[in-house]
Amino acid sequence: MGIPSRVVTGFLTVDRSDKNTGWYWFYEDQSHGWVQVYFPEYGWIDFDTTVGNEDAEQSPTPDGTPPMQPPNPVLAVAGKILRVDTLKRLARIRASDALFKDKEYSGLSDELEMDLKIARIWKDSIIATLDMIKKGDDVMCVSYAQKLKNYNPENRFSDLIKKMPEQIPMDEIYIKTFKPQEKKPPKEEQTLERKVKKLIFGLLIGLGILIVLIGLLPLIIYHWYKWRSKSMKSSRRKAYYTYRAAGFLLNQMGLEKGKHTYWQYAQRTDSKFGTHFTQFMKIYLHLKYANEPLNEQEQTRLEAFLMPFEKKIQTSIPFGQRVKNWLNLNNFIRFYQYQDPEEKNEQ
Amino acid sequence: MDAINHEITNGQGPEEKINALIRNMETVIRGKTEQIRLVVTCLLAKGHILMEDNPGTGKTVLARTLAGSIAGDGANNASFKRVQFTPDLLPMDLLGSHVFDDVRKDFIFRKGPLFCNVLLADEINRASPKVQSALLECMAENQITMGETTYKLEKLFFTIATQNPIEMEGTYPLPAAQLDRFFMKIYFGYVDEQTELDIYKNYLHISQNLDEIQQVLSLQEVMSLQEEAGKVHVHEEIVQAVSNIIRGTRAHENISLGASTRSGITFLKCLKAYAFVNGRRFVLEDDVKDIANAVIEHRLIFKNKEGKTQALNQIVLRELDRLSKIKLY
Repeated sequence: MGIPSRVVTGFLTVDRSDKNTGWYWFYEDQSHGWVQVYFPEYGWIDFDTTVGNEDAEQSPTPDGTPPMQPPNPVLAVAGKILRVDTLKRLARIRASDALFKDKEYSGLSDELEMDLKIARIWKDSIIATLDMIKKGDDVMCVSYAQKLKNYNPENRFSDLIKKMPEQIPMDEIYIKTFKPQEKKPPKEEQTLERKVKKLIFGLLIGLGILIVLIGLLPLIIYHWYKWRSKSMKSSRRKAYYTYRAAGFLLNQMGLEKGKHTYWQYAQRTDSKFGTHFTQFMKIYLHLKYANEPLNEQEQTRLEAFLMPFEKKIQTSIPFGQRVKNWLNLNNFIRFYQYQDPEEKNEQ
Repeated sequence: MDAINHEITNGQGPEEKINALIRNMETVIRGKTEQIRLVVTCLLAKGHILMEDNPGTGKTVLARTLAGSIAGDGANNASFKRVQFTPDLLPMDLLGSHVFDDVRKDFIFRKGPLFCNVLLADEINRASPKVQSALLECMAENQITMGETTYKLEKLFFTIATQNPIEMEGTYPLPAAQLDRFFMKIYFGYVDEQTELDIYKNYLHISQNLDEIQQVLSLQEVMSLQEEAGKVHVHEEIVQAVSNIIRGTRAHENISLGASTRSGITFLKCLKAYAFVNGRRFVLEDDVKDIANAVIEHRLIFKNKEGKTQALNQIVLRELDRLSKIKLY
């Protein structure tokens, strides 16, 4: 269009010098780009098209002079809005905390009338209008008014107000959006911390119990099988659970069935521990593959098998080794693991 | 592996008879308990057995011992014949031939060595295929047809054939179809060091035992044992396993010729007899494991040598795994 213009990038300056006076902190979110247009008589003039960016006014001028520093507030009042008059642009506030010329007042409940004719209003750091201030809102009001500077801080805030004009001019109003959060978070954090502690404690106890349970699991399962084998009436079930118990015990003691057949397993066991596992296995296999019931001798043998068997095995393994074996979860897992027959073949 | 032996409940029972037979054979054959059991199993399953291994491992001695244990001179005793197979052997040397009777002016039939109870066909793969097939047909049909007449063989006809490994010179390998007639093919292998030492030390004594081998079973007893063995109970899961194994050989990638249905029937018969030999009236998965190789392997044609060692074992092991997982109730 023939108008000389340029794009400028830089940082918006936000004065955070309340902590370190004279320092400007530039944050990533303040990086900004805007347009400058050249007017022959005036030089480069900023044309910031970014919406709601009042900070652009504070950006450095083309000739390099730093932006105006915001004046120090004279009075800052935090409190609850009691009434808003949008016509006269007046508002009444119940102050809870206040700051006048660096003197802090807190725990207040004084009411004061504010003149908002020149006030700029922000909500969520966006410029708002007066009618967005509702009764009951928590607000922070800041005044830079020169005439307030004439007053001196008093010990009590109420005394200060009495001296001040009836309608105190305010320049900036900040509406707090999350009213309850201001005060509650510390409380919640405390309870949360406690809760977390409780939770961790509970978890630790639970974990401890779990570990103990897992450690004892083989023993528990063995006794369950034993109990089942005792309580079963039918000889098939009895034989099945007796075998499960015996097999589980052997497996836990490190003698796994592996790729052997039942009969070979029994023979191996007998040759190692001197038990009568083959005798039992005969009965077991008889039940499994023969089409006839057990005779009396076999029946009594079946019932009398497990206890001496267990005793024999327990006595032939030293105590320490036994405890170790019972706690060995590998053995336990192996008992229930599916083993691929072909894989075994290759081994 | 030691076979499963139930205790002897009755001194005169079939278990005792079988044990007596096995013990009798063990006085001559040392360290071959499993092979002896398999041979007796075949006898009781009414089948025939083929033994293969290098010369001098005791095949012929085993056959002679078995024959000696059940054969005798009396009318009720089994007769034993031995034929040494050579390349120039003719079928009529086995079957018998018609001879002219000068007195009756007629041809009469002279029975060959096949008319006996126990036949030892030594080195069967040295004879020509003509003779081999003549023998194998007889084994299958249990009868001989010469001209117009059909002659029945003995009711108890048990052939023990031995053969040298196919790779040796001067042999006519038996085709797979013929091998199918043998219930089992077993290998001998060499005995372990201790047994071999024992054999050398007692060599005189052992050969004396062979000469003086006692008959422990009569023909009638063997036949009744065969009957008993047929009555052994086979659980349906075992039948299922046999079926799975047989079908598995047909589907396996390393086997080009799988087992036939006849093999399955044979397998079942052998399982029954094997269980019976081990003193049981029911078949176990262990029986399947023990004899599967002996019964099935010679019926299969493998695609390669590696497959030979693995394929059948794979199938059998998978089946054993299935059997062992079956719950008791």
